[in-house]
Amino acid sequence: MTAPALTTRGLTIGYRRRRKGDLVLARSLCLELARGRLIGLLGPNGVGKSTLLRTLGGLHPALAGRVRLAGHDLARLSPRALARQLSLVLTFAPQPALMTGYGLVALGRQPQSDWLGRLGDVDHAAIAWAISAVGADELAASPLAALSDGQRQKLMIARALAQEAPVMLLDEPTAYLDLPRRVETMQLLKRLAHSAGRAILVSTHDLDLALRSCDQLWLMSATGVVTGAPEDLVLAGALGETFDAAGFRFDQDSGAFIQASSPGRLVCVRGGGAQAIWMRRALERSGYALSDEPGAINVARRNDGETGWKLTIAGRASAHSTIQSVLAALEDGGA
Amino acid sequence: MAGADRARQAISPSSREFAGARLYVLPALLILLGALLLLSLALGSAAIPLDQILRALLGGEADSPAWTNIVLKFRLPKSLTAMLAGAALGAGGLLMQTYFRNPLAEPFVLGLSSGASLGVALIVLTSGGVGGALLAGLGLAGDLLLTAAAGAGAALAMGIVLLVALRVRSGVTLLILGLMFGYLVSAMVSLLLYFALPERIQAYINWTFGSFGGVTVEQLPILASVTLGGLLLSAALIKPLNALLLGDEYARSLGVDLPRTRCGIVLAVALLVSAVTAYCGPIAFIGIAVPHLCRGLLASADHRLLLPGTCLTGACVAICASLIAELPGNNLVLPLNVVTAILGAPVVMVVVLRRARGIA
Amino acid sequence: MKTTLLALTIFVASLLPAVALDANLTDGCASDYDANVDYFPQKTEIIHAAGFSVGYFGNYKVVRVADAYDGAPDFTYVLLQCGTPAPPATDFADNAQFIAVPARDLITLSTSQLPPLSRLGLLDHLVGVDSGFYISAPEVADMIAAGAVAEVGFGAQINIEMVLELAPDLVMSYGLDPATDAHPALLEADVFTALDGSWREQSPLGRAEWLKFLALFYNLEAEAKAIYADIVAGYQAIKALADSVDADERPAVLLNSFLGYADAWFIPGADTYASRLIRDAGGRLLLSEAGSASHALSFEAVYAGGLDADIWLIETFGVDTGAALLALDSRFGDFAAFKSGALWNNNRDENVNGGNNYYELGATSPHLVLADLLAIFHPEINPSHEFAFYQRLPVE
Repeated sequence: MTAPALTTRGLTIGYRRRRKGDLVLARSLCLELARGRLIGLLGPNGVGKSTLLRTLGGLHPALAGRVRLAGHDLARLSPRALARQLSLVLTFAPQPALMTGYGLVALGRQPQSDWLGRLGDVDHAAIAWAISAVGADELAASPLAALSDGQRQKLMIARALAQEAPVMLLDEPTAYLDLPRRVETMQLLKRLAHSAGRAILVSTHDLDLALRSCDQLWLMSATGVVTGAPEDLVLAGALGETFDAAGFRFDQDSGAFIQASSPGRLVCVRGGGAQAIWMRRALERSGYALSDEPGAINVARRNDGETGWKLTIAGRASAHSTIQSVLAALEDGGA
Repeated sequence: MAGADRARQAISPSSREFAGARLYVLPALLILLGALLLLSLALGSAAIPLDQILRALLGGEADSPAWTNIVLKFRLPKSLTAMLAGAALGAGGLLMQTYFRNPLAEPFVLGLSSGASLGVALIVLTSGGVGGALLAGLGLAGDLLLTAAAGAGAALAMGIVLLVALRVRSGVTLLILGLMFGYLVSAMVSLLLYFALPERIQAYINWTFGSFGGVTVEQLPILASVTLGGLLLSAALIKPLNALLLGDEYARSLGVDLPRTRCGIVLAVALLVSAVTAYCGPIAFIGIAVPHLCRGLLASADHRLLLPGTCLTGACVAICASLIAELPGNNLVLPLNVVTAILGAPVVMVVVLRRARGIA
Repeated sequence: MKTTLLALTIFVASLLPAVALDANLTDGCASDYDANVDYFPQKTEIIHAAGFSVGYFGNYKVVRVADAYDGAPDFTYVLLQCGTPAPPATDFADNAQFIAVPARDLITLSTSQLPPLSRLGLLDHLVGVDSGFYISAPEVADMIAAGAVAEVGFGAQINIEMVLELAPDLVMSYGLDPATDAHPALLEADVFTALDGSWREQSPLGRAEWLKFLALFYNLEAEAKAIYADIVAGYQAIKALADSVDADERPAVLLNSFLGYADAWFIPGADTYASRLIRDAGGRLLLSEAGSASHALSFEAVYAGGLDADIWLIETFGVDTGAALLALDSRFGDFAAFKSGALWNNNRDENVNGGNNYYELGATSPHLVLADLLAIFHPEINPSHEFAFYQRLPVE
């Protein structure tokens, strides 16, 4: 395995404050970003994900410790030398007027170009490759104002690619995109990490997507950063520790957060298939506890040939055509 | 690499670099500027035949010595001043609008013109007037006193803003501080005005009207060298300016040294604005309207095109304004700032309305 | 029988002419009011001034000021002989102000009101001025220094509280623009405020005649008449000298109301104050157009038309030498008047703060200004003239 593209040693991040003493968000971090990997940075809101990314990206000074980038101390690199090692994508894609997609991606060549920013054949080739790599060929000639948020973000990623820096940091790049666009972006980043050999660190709130796409996760909580393969972290319960909060818990089986069950009444749903799964979700959502054994309240598909549900409360049965009707009857009967 | 091939096909190789821009606008502006320059030499209060004008320009003597002087001592410096001032204000406006990413930014937002106003107000209102005892006997230095006062005022404002620029990280903070600084200085000018003689107040108010006609042949080299210095510095900032279109943080990630660029921009704008303001007064609206006009004409956000573009557009607009203020064929003159406001305000209105409709 | 006699007595009494006073009461009030007495036997007649008028009605006089500033309404002042009953207020315009005369304390808000005050012997009544900064009259400066005269400020920023504390009978103000003038604030505070419209007069003698306006408030009609007659006589005598000069010997005069950066010169029209003074002193004002308005000309137009002027009146603040003029703009050196050294400025008599007596004493003494101008245009007529306001600028 090659040397990591970026390492931190004893890195402490946070904010210098004059009066109240420094606000430390994380202390003594020793982290590594390897080439060819997509790494997801996860953590609850306000824990310092953005600060960590911005510190690694040189936008924010570290309180202590150092970041080494391709063998150089980050703090000593000139802005231009840094830009050749590290590219950045932020949550918002800017929308400068009168700029085309091509013009935007071309800005990624600034670390390589001369004082006036003139582009040579090599530069144009890199821009064209980056645009193709993100699948934005048809966007190149369009003015940015005519593009959607997702399309602009795609071009911003292409711009970071055109920069040809071994490390790419992305701060919640998908926060304002719809689900298909988010999936598409994560797949794109994964492909780029693997095929172009970049070390890509992406912070996201999309836990499910991160679990499915990332080669490695950095879980950030108030106590520090835990790293590892997503599956290892799930099984070790690290995800639960990082995210568990009142009312929610991480379900290892489903790999998703569910509402922690409150002391609600037990309901037994019999049967299987999509119908039963969604009935169970509805009951959970409404605060009922699910039971596998028949009890005082039972719900089952109607067995008289009609579609719908049969609800039995303390032996009294009623028929319902929708889930909503079942929930309403439960509420009435449970008063 | 089929995708890459497609990308190259989508954008024809010749125009890849400035895709979508109307490149022919630049030579067209250059031709227009030449024509306007000739027109401004040919038109004026005094009716001078064209052949006489050409003879005077080519170093000969016109039939009347007054005509020779009018062409060489009035129209030529005035046209060149208008050209320089328009170019400087247009470029200064472009720098400010890009740096602050605010369509209503103009070269005066940093309080530079307020500083210059304070310098001029101090000289005009408290010393021996526009041409007071301080000016007498100083020769060329006397010529320079008002300019020096305006320059010193602008430099003082610039120094304060630079100091702040090094400390604050946000352009918005700088913008607000600049505006507040401007208000503060305006208050001091008002205070001076309140205690000043009516005649002195008149001289100050006349300065605020703006004029390209006050610059003589001897003063022109000073104005030109300071302005050209500012333009050269602006040219050196073209690349970071392009990066700044994406915002401070993206610019940083593209290798832009933000503190250095910020100081460079403030310094360039100070050079562009201070000499022009000192010699011509605080010329309104050219700085804010010209960059918009130029972007619209060039259909590009690339400063490699916009910087020369705003210089040319600014020069053309300033010469037009100067021509209109003189009302050819008539002896009367209008205050220059009235004309620039009438020309510039509609441009700003259109820009704001287009933004409101989400077009720009 | 008795009643018949009484009726006859009353009838005869009513036929008698009104009991005549010898002179206006300039000191104190009337006693034993008699409706048949004409309390103002000495009346003002206005000869040149166009901006004010006066009518006499036994025990009161009605003064009207028209056109005190652009778009000004008519202002009406009812001057009531003190000690006599006031006529009903409903007889007058809504904005009419009432004052008992002879008035006592007053505040002036323009330096040009001080020379008439001094000439009429009314300086003892002065309790306040706008500001002492630009006042030339040494006696007023002394009064301010001694604390006898207060400085109340000017325009809309006038210190109303100080004015109310001084409690003057009368404030002499002037109007430029009601938005920035002092009089709206003063009237709001119920202070009697008279608007001095003298600066609107286009005739130099008309401007001087406003000393009669001030005199009305002190019943000094006779004194004002005599002083004004002297001014008119002095002016006419100088004008007669100038009129004797042949038309082709009248110098071409360039009047520099130089506007510095604005690149515009204001040349007064033929019917203006400045233009009339130059004409009456035997000069020809160049580039002047007909009418009473000033015209803004470009420097280029002035250069083309004024290059050959014989004399250049540089009525510009702070220019004391030819070098100072050149420092303003080197092109001034091309003018014939500059080359021949015929450069004159009206700032000979300035106080330490730059207050120019030309605008104080000169505004109300056109005969003195005219004498200066005659000596500039035709020095041979009175070679020993001592200049009051103008000085020749040294040109190296």
